[in-house]
Amino acid sequence: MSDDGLPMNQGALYPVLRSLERNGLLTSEIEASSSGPPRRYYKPTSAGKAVFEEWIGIWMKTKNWLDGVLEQNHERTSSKGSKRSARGS
Amino acid sequence: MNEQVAKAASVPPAVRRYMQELELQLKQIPGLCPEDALADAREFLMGDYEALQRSGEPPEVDAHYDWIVSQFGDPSQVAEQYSSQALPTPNLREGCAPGWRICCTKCGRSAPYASTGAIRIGARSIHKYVLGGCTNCKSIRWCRVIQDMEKTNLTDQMCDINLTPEQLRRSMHWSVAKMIRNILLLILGIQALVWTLLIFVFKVFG
Repeated sequence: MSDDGLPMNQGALYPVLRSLERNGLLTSEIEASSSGPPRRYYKPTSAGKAVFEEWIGIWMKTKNWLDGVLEQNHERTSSKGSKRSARGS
Repeated sequence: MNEQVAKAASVPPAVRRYMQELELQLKQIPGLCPEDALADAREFLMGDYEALQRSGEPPEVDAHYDWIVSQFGDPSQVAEQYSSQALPTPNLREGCAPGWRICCTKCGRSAPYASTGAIRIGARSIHKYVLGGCTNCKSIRWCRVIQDMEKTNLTDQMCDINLTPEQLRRSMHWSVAKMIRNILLLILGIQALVWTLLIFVFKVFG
């Protein structure tokens, strides 16, 4: 994991951006830089923004479901632990 | 797009080495545009190097290279990630063209020449142009067949001058208009030379 918390190498991001651009979800433009190589800036298109909202919805649903499962699991383990400690005492 | 072409800042050896290794990997994948992937890598690596310079003493070459691999990924892995974008190439039969690559002069999509079923062994030329169908352009295009599968010519060009992939492609190929203009200029030049010689001969001997 890199220092900024990204759970993958930076090199994996660029093909994804290119792929999103090819699918019409992003647009890009190149701007010359005085200090180094030209830089490519990406912007979401209207279709990209709609898909992004959709993905956020799906992600939140998945996250809530996972949180629920983990919470149940945590409750079970904690209740088992308290029963064991009660038996032990 | 700003067409300004600025002279490149000195590219650190570790960045150049990384890009060279990445280029060799990218050229092996049919249906990719190596210039685009190299431009992405160059953009990140030079930005990262600037940040390293600002934070203090830049690292030694090997340490810097290891840092790049840890941040951007191993060249073979990065090339593999780009392969998901590769468009299929028409593969009618198994070819044999060691060292040769074919690329579209318009979009830059390239493939090992052998992967298109071509046979090219012992050819002495550096490159040649053929007409071929490009899956990305969805059209018949002039394609360049070039012997650079084991060379790192793209990295050298991209590191020496800050060209965008589109500018690099345009600089490599002559357009039809440019070819006609150059042929006309050549004919005019020859005619001027002949007339000058004739005038000189008439003046001296006439």
